[in-house]
Amino acid sequence: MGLRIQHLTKTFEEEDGDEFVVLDDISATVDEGSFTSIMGPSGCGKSTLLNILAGLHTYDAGEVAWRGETVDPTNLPIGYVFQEPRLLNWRSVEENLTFAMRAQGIPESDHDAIVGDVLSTVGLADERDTYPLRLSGGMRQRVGIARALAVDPEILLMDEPFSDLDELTARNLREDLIDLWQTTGKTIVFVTHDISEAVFLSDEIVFLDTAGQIFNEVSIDVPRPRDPDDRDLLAIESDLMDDFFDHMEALEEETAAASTGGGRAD
Amino acid sequence: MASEVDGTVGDGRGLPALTGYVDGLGGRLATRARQILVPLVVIGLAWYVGALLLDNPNQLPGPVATLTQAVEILTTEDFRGYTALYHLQLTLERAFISSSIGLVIAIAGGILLSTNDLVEESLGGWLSFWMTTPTVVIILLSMVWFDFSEIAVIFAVVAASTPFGIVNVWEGAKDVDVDLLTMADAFDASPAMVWRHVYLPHLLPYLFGSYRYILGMVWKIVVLAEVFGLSAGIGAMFRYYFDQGELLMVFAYLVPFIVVVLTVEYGVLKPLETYFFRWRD
Repeated sequence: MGLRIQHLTKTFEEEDGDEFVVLDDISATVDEGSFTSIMGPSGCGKSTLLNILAGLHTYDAGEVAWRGETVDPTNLPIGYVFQEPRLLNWRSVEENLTFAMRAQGIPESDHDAIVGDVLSTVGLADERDTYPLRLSGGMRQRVGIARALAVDPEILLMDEPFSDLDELTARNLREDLIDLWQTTGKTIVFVTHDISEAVFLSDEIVFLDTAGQIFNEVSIDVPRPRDPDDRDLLAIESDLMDDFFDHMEALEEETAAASTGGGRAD
Repeated sequence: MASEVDGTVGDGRGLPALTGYVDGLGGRLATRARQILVPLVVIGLAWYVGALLLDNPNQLPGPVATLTQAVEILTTEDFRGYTALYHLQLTLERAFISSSIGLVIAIAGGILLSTNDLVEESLGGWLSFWMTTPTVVIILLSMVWFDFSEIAVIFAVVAASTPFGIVNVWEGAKDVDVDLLTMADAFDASPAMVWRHVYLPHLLPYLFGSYRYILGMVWKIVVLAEVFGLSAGIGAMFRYYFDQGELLMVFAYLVPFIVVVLTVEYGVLKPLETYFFRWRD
């Protein structure tokens, strides 16, 4: 069953009072244990969708269900990895993890074992007592991932977690993320604007456009382990890119036609 | 000094973390000593040369005479039966009490301004008016209102120094990292946790800045208030001996006062700062 969203709609009110539709009647299903990416251009509402799932934003209409039961997203069992590490720089790596665990009400007696466990999962077993500012950007992002894992979520929400890193570091982290996903069996919802990243990582990719609608959903059936430079992946990537640009062009023409039409009506 | 530290390092062999800490401590002490001693030597020399050139103890007593006199007033009782230590203690008590009250008001006021729109709108503009009121006016008024009592000094100091602290904390609270608040929200952290782990550590540098500023004002204002209105305390002694034309005594009372101010800065505030901000590389 996994995670299902149905007819999700979200509008923001702009400063001039106009309503701006970010998510327009979105329906999608994320299989439990799968790696699903939400892909789209900036401003398409993909982060908004993730924030709704994290219970950080409200929504106007629609429904979210987990394992067949409708839930309030604030009660979804999630861990969140942000684009920036968002660590408490004044707390050690360990204290950053205990912060999240305490917030989630995980018993103090378990903290020590969990910290050791998740830090070795992300390859930072030796950095328990280190302050974040002494770590590299990639290591800080690993701490961010460890923090999300520490609360033992069923669903891992990731908002462009590697986009601020250099490509070499990002590549390493992507491979480690896949290892981690395969060993832990978590359901991952991964937001990105990087098509090759999405194709390399995902089982499923959901494409969002700037009108707030899903215009394409594809399964990536290339067997794992994958090589980021694999010919099949590159071919899929280029096809999806074509589809994407065709759609965006059509959308722009549509919008242009609508606005000139609207102008005449006035 | 250095050899003592080295001895401790030898004892702590096999405990790398401790050894590192002690090494760091030794280094910090050396830095601290440089920070205090170098300016002190320079000032002392300039003073000595200046006094020598001026050659008039009634205008500028020399450092040797001043230090001798300082030891004298610290160890012997004056005409009323008090040593300089007593006056120093009075001044310090006033400074400590009023700066503590000032800091508490600054924190409360700053947080209130940053969290409550009504307070911000109605009080925000008045702060600059409050800050520009001449300190002397505040001191004189509170002397009249509180009848030259202990409370008069404390009130004057608090009234004159807190607006700067409030503004500092207010600016700090406005500057809190919204991303971290969202993070805390995503993990369902309670408001108490957010205060303890996000707001407070974020505000700490601003609190230090405020306290240092308040304290800097407090030293000056307490002494000034004592000059204007009270019969005891370092400031009162300045006034008394100045009226007598005994500049040497004024200088002598200045010495223990400066020693205390330096001790508070380098013996208390700086080490505390190093400890609190050890997470900055």
